[in-house]
Amino acid sequence: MHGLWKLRAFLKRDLATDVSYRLSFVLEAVHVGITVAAFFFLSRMLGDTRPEGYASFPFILVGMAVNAYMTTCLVCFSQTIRGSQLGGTLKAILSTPTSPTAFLLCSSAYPFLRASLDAGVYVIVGALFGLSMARVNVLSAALVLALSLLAFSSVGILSATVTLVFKRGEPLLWLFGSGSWLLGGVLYPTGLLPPALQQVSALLPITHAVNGMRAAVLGGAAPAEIAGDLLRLGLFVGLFAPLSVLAFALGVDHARRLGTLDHR
Amino acid sequence: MTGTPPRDAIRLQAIAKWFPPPGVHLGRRPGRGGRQVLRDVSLQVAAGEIMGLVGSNGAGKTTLLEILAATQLPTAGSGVVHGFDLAAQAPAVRRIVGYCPASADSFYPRLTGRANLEFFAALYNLPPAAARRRAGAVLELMRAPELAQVVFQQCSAGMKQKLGVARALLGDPPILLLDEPTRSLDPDAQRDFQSLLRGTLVDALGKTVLLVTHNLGEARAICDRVALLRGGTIAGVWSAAGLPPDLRFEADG
Repeated sequence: MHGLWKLRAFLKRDLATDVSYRLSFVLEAVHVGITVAAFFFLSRMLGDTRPEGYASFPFILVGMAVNAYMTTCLVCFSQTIRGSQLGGTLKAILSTPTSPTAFLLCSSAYPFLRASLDAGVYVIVGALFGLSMARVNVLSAALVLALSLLAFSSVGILSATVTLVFKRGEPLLWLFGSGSWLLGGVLYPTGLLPPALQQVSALLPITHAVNGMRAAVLGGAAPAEIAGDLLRLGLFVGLFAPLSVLAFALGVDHARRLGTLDHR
Repeated sequence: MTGTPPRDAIRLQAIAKWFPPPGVHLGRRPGRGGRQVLRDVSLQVAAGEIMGLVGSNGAGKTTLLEILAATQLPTAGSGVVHGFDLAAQAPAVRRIVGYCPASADSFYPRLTGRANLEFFAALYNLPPAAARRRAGAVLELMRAPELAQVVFQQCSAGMKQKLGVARALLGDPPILLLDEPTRSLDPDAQRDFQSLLRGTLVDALGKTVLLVTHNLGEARAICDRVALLRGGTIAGVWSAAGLPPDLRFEADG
């Protein structure tokens, strides 16, 4: 129960803070709407092109939504650490019985909810531009989403560890984020990439997240039909989730040993 | 928790602390090229006692408190707080210690005093209703119920200081580590706080307090004993009544 009470406290804290900045709340939704509209008109320029068998607008929209989730997962953990260091709350929090890992995971809950809200806006605005959700396989989409969040979060936690130890985690995020954007098939099929880059693409979780999500949402694929993508995401999670949590615990221990927990 | 509190609530043995030089330190041996802030600090604080800790800026007072709050590890030496080992049982130490850092800004600026305290109360494993009650109770205890509705960024320095102490009380800890808690308070509020600390928290509730202060008058008024930290080492421990009138913080020569 302690964990749930803490999770509730973090959500309440972040919601209260977010609501106090009402304008940015609204502007972010407007930003998502404008982005969707821009990609709608871009897809009209592409005409009848059907990347991987899907109409180009929904193809791009699903890629963008998955990419938005990935960006949230990548940045929210290191932002939590950096923001707490700069605000002076990190040491106050870590002097309570709450473990550093619990703090990090609870802090990520609200950004995930916001990312889901943004994804909802993507779908609603997309529907206004003719996106059809008639063929969605909900189970497949939920499985892809859950594994993707865990996979992206593993990288996010590793980045938070780098932030904690070196005070700057952004270069790792930029590299992973822009690499995924370029090679992960967000806006175009990975089949267009040179063969060597396709091999790199296959190693990135976003490639399988985007493939699986498109198949589930646009193609109505059952879990068995996207087993390959689910398996690769699962392998990534199995390898990197424990590694990232362990690395973070070691990073906190390292910072406590050196006395640099709240150094800026 | 231990069944009966040990006679010494805090016991430190030969604590040393090195801070590293700026840069990357993975795998670096402690002390190589760094700055030593604590050396061979041994100190005992009895249960139910207020121990004052005085010393000049940079003497190592805050570092010592952070080691006791288990947010830093000592480079060498050992310590036991309320029966728990500082290094090996850090989570248990955090449950029984209330820490008020010197910086009063370690709250969320857009939230009210109550919302901030309720958040931190949840980190002490309190369920929502109990967190709400506890937040109200510690503000009452601090004689500052009006802070409940004030947004933190609109608080004065003294109000922030009171919230910092209130937060340290959230977990009802037997041991309080207070880093200059009266620094920003006006003289009346200082007297109120000193009477709260001595009369209520220690004499009535039996808490143990390690109080960092630069105010020797305050140390004489409410502490049982006072330790002087000079150049990272304990230069002397006196009963409050026996504090030398010409006590100097700085090293001679």
